[in-house]
Amino acid sequence: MITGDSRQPVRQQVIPPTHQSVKAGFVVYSPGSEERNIVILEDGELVARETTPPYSTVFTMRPGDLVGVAALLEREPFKYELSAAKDSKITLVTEDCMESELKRLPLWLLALIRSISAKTHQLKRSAVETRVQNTLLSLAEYLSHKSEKTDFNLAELIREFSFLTKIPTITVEEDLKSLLRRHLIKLSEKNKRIFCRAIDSELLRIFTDYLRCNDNGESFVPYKLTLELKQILVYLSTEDETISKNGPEWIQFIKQKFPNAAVTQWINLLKLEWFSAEKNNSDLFHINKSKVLYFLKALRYETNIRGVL
Amino acid sequence: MTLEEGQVLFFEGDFGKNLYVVRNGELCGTNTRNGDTNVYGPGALIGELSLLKNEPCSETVTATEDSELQEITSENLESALEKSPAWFKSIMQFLTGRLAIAQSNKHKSDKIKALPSLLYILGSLSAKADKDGGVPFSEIFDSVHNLFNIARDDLKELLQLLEELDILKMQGADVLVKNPSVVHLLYESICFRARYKKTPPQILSMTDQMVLSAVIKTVQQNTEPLKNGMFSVATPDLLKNSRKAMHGATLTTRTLLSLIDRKLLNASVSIDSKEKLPEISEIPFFFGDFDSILDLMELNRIYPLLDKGLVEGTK
Repeated sequence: MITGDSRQPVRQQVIPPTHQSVKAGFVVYSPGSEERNIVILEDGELVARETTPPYSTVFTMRPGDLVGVAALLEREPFKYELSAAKDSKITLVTEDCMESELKRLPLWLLALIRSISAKTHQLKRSAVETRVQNTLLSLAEYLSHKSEKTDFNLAELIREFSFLTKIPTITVEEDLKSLLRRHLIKLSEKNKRIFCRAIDSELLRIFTDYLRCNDNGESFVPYKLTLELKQILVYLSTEDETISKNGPEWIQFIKQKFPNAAVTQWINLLKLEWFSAEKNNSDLFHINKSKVLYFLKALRYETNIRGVL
Repeated sequence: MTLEEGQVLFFEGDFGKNLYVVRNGELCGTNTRNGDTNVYGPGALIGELSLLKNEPCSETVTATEDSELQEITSENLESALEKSPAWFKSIMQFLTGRLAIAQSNKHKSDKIKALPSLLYILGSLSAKADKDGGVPFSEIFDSVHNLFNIARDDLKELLQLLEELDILKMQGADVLVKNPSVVHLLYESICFRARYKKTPPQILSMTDQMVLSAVIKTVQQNTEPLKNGMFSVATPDLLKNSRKAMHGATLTTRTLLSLIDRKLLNASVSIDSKEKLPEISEIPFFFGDFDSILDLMELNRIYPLLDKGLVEGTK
């Protein structure tokens, strides 16, 4: 039968921490122990040593220092032996003691402790992992800086790339297959060694731009051109890039070939950077051939870029 | 407290003092420094470090829907800790300190790990740039971001460090690499060290560096122009300069042997046996590629400073 006022909060039994006085040389904690405690040094000196020869001292504890929080709260292994360097006084917060104290805390404080713990754990983990989110983009960028004229030893290439990005080898191999499928790289074999060559560095750069647009949820500009713009592009690619004209003259020039082209198309062409202003006279423009050819290449190799071969 | 959709809880850089527990709704935090976003739903905490360490907020947090939050002030925290035993406060301090260390370590390690990627890209882009022409910062950022996913501020800090080491110069929106060959050498040295866990062969002993300083000085004193970048120094002139560079020590053929082995210096007479070396006075002159020596000396100046700069951070 339950008696008493049910609205009264239940009184939690508090298990106090254990206070101990230990002599110099006493082993306070050994990694083989099943018990997990937080050790707070009240007085004296403790040392943490490695458990294998030459049993180097990892750190020394002074009064006020504590150890074992991660072992108790996060189950992280504490791999050193802790012993008293001098006669010392210690406080041991056992698992039961901590649990009883945590139960008395307001929920938000408990959540705060868990959150700090989780964030620390996540930061430690992410410090050893790759930062790269799109590994294929990263590999394409890396290879776009390699000479098109050289066959690179594939194993060396993977080693260098993994060192730069910390991307695991198995992921790199998968991404290489993806580039190979798209015909962006070529593999060959010589003396039982595999070599890799970037077929066209600019095409790899176009591919990285395409992937970046995808990642940002944007359309890749070359693939949203209207038919008329595509026709203008091809036309401009055949023209001389050294000729300079002002805006109205270029509009007139385009209208001769494309009578339906609106005047506003000129603004589009400038936005697409198919024309560049002269350095000395911003009223005069010339065809930006490298940009025009970039768009043409992107269109020509659309199936490679999209990976729908 | 309640927030309506679109209302900002706090801005990045604000000095908040409170912790917020999301009761209902959803908020989104965005960090402009690294582009990270965080979504906070019911039960999530916002502003732990503002409460515990009075640190500025690392992100701008906006309600993406009408939200209800519980606000915890520093007084609330103090009061809760007052009711706990003294050792519990120590544990809280320990946890907070450990989180701050982990954050700082992560920031440092991200920068250190990004450096080889930056050097790789800088080497490639600067080699393609026009002579005396810079590489746009945006182009470097795009490439290093694609390769390593570097944060914009981290890249700026790294470039600043390289500028302090006189490797490059930032000119407006452009980055001007002073010597792409040195960037390449530095990249190769870092790769070698990471792979073999030992000093790279490009890093010279103090004696070798002193000898090369004397060689450089002798070449600079020479009035004859270089032929295809190749220098030639008469042994008596080199001996004179080496006495000053080596603090009075005498230069011998054996001292020069490691530089000869590396083809940095070539003797005008052939050295067939290492056991029976000719006297230095029997060698009329030494020759070699001047740019290779200058680049190597520049690398040796930068190399020890780089690690220090990375660990200590830029000014």
